[in-house]
Amino acid sequence: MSMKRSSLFYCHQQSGAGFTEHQGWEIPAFFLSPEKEVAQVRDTVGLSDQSYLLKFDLKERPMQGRWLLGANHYLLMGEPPMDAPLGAIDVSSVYTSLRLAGPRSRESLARLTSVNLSDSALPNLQCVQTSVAHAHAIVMREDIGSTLAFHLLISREFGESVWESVIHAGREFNLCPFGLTALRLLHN
Amino acid sequence: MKFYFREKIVEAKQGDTIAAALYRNGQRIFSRSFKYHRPRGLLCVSGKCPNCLMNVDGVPNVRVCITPVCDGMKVSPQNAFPSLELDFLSITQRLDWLMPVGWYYKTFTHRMMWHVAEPTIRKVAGLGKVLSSENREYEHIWMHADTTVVGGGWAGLQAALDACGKGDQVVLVDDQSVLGGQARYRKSAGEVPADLIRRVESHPNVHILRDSSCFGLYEDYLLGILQRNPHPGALERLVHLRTGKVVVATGAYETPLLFPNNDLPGVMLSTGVLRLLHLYGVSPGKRAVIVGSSRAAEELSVELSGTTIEVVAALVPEQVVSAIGHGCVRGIRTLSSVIACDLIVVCGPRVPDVGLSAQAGGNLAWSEVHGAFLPSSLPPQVSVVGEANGEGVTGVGAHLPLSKRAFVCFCSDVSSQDLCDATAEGFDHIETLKRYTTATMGPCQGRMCQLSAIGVCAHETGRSTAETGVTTSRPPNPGVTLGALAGPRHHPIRRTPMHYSHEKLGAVWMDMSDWRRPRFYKTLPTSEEKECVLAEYHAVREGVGIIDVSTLGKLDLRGADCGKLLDKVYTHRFSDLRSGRVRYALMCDEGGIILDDGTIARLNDDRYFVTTTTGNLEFVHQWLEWYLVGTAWDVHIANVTAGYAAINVAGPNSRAVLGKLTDCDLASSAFPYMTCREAEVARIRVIMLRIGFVGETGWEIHCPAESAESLWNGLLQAGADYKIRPFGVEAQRLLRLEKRHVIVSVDTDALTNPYEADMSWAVKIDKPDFVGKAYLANAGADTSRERLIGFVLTGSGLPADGAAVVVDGKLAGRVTSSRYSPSQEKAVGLAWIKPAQAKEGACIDVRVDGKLVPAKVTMQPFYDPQGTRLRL
Repeated sequence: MSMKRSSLFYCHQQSGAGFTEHQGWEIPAFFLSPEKEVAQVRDTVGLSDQSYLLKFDLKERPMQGRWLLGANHYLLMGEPPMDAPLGAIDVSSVYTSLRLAGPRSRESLARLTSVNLSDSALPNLQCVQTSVAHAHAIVMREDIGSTLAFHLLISREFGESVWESVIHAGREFNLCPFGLTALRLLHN
Repeated sequence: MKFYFREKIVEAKQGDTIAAALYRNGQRIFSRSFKYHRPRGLLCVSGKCPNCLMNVDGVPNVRVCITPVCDGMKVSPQNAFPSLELDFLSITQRLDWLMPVGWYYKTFTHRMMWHVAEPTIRKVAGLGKVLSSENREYEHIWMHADTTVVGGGWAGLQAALDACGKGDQVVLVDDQSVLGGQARYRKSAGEVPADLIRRVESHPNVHILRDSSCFGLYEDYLLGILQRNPHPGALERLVHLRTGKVVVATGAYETPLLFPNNDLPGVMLSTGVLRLLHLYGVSPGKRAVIVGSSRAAEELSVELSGTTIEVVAALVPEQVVSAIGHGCVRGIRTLSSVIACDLIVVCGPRVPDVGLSAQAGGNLAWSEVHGAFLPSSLPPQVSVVGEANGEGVTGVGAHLPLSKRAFVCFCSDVSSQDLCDATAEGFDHIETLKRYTTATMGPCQGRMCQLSAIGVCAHETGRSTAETGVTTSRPPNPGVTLGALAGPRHHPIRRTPMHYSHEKLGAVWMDMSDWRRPRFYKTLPTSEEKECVLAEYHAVREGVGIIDVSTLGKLDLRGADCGKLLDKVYTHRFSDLRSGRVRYALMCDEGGIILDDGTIARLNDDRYFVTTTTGNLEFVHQWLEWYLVGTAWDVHIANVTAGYAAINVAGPNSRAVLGKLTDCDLASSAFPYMTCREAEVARIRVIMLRIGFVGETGWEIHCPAESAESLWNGLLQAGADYKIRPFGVEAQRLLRLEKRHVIVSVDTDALTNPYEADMSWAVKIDKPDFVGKAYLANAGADTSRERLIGFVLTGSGLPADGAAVVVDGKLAGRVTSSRYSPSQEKAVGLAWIKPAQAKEGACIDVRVDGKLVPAKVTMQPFYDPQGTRLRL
């Protein structure tokens, strides 16, 4: 069976990413070098494609790892493998999920969305639905350790457009894409 | 630092603006005026007047007095030929008698005259030229604050600290590059303690936007701010700032005095002189004459003492007859003598800058004490402080000239004479005067001319200034470049998961709203659309074809009560649909109007898979959620459109091709028409619907988007022996038209009900209740409405979409879709016609290229009327 590809596969290929296999997905392991990418994220801001994450749409509140989207509307997101909770609809394929991380991530994102991203309006582990670069998006704040970070969930067909817009928005801070290796280093 | 001015190198010091560097290097004329091409020099030196507009690095109308020098930038004057010093078009000032106020309206009384004159006028008048801005970067940013202070002078700084003291997050907006306001260049304004600025700058709750002009205050306290050069990668940045409170601390600006030649280069506002002197170390002149009230002149003399400027005289405005000079000031003529000088320093009336508070909905009232219009009432969250609120402003309003040949509006060359003429012609209300003369409508947006215009108007009409009133302040003020408003080029494109496969196959794209879909595939670079579409058509009719239909809306419905909900919102019945079956679905509104159509598959007892048309997905999703509210039904709806790619495999050989990739029994006995299965194709879990939009044996395969490309390529590989062909939207439209399948909102419109569209079979009027039933229950019997019919052209030609249908020489309807049908070897189509002709075999005429061509009405599909091929 051939590997799963995110909406950004060709985009990554063009930027010269080194690919790896992860849970059946063909995803970028690195773009420059993992160490450089980690340093960039810690200093300013970086962007990663995490479309392989599992996502479930729920009407009832699950035990953990949940994001509140609306009244009786929850989203569960997590690393594969993971069992679908009872009554959940698997929406993993629906979203291109991006990880925007680094101290300047908020400023970069503020160029693409009108929503208030400040600490008081969007504290850690809270999410908001809004428009990012003219596409509907779920913006979820989940810091990596003490580093400010967001998940951006965009309907898959907008993936490339939004990726390019975020890269463009962060150019003042030399925003660079980062791969799975750097992401793992950041989490350690 | 060096930059280029008209190809010559100009040296600049650190911290110089372009204007300061040019002035130091002897440049006195900075622009030519809009109408008369009069020479104009620096006036306000603070980015408020229109006198220093130049082209900087290809961007027109840049105010060079506030634009810092960057190494290597290219600056050129505009609106002058051949040069600023010698402009041939300045001849127009000798012809001013030919161009009185309102001369467009008076001269070009016939439309043709305007067409003849317009190109010439456009060349002569106007400001800079817009060039391509390919390499300019503009950006947007959204910010949020509890309190926003506009103005970084003493009052603004204090207000920012006060707000911080209450715990607010504060944004401080200042249009200069350094905080401090007029205290930076004016001793008499009182020293701003360096400590105050430091405290504001270092306060963690204050975010400072420098070089930023606040151009508008919109609903819900949204401020529009234009920030110049936010970082080297961007020319300008538009800040959308949502704020809780607004403190307007915009101060007051100085305006010119009226006397003949008051626009000569060398006549400068006192604040402009002080800015040049103290901010940039440029001496504006050697021998200066001060014009202004004795108190203002005295204050200014103190300011100028100890500088290189020698004050040779101080005059009150009433003494001045005119300024003298050609191209620059040589002297000033008073009632009693002529004084030689190279600089006339004007201490004009100071006008509080209250535009923002007026935009917020506050009222302005004339204050005799201050000689200014000041806010008399304010919306709850807006406050005005400092000079903007009249603090320290004293004046008597506009000074009126002895002669009427003084310029009031520098932007479009309106003199006091013009204003008097316009008032005499009946435009004596300040708002009509503004519109007729264009005074206050130029790049300065009234900052230089409003007070004078009001003064002249009041004098001519014999009214008081308070009665005359003030023109309305509207955003944007100051003006904003269109590039900044447009922002960066983010055009969202929706791409299906097979986008790049289509590209490799030679897809020619078409835009369907934001989606990009292959219109057809160009097999050879030389092939024409017509032959490609025909080849794709034949592949489907005779062999096998595949099309990417991923743009279809898809909803996943789970729960015990899904059937109830679907029965309610769709016209057909779905609660009795057996698992594994598919049914056509039609949705109407309460008035029986067709909203959307699609297919609904029941995957198991508690799960329905609903497809919608490409454009209506969001609407249908909301419509379903809306009818679910308050029902307590067990229904869970998820929009899975992007999660599933969809491929339609169609044609007599589709079974053979699919059979190679799946174990699922595809025989019609096991997998008949209008049924569905969950299965594995090419080792990918998919949902298969056996439906036939194009009228052949076929399956619509919904597969997880991340595996769609390999499924698509797998199908192409498996079908290679059968000469499988990808087909595009154009071939699909032709195929479906032959089957008379309707496309909602192409063949139907905002008034169509199912009976008129010949789809009564999809309406189960015996259901207890559904949306639109009340109307549709009676609509079936209504035979007076137009009907959607099929027609076959008996003559030759191809009607355009929308072509007229004619019966007995009278207009009787219109064509909605028409194509040349290869199976009928004639043009076929769908049309709305009067009910009398909506009968099998009726004769109608269709207008094709201006001629009437006969056609026959048919109520049957054109191709395979019995639908046997679908069921093979």
